[in-house]
Amino acid sequence: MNPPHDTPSYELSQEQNVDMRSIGTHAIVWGGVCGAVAVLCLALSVAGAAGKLHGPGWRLYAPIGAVNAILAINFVIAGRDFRAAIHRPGCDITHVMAGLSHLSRAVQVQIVVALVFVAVVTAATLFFGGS
Amino acid sequence: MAEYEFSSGQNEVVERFGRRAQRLGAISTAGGSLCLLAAVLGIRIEADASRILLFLLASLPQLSVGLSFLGAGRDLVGVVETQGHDVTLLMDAMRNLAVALRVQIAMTVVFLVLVAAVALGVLA
Repeated sequence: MNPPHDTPSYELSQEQNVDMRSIGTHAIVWGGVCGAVAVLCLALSVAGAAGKLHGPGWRLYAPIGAVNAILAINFVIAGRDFRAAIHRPGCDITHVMAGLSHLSRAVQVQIVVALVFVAVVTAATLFFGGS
Repeated sequence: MAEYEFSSGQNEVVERFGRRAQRLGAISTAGGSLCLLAAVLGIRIEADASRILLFLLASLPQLSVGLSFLGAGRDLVGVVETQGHDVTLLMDAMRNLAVALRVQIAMTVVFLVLVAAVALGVLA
């Protein structure tokens, strides 16, 4: 049963605010870590393009950095939405839904990354099994 | 006490995220299991110890993140499929997600510290 539109929206309890603050902070910190990895990859990519790194492996840094930048943006925005649910009374569920939408986008990117990881591990396992 | 029930639009957002979280959880769990399998295979064929250790270390975060996302996804899909406990189930999912993010953060920081240590020659 959905509440009518003219009823006041749901306000999270103190305990629920604690959980929301926790997920918000973790999402922002994880976004920060992804951002740091993106900056590191970008720096390595530039160093590679300038001929300061040996081998062709540096070409991988730019796409890895781009993926991490996308993750960073979505996780930080999601974290801010979750924290907004605590600090701005009146629209708690709206902020939570906005946060979930951004997390959903980030998780979609992580699915692709995880699939690549599984493919690499499968290849390595087959290599082990065959040798 | 009757709890707040999400609207159909809100249920759609929650379900989409729940399905994606379950998918990510399943893939991460499969990846972690494969890493364990690779480590076991490595032990059986007496492969290089550092490679075996690498697979073992890679399996732990994959399995813990995978299981946390699976749990969070299950709770989120439960929000849509059940009536009367929407906010409670959402909060359960949020706690599972926080665990998954905490593991990801810790493992990435450890990985970056190890890479930095190798780069600076501390472990060389």
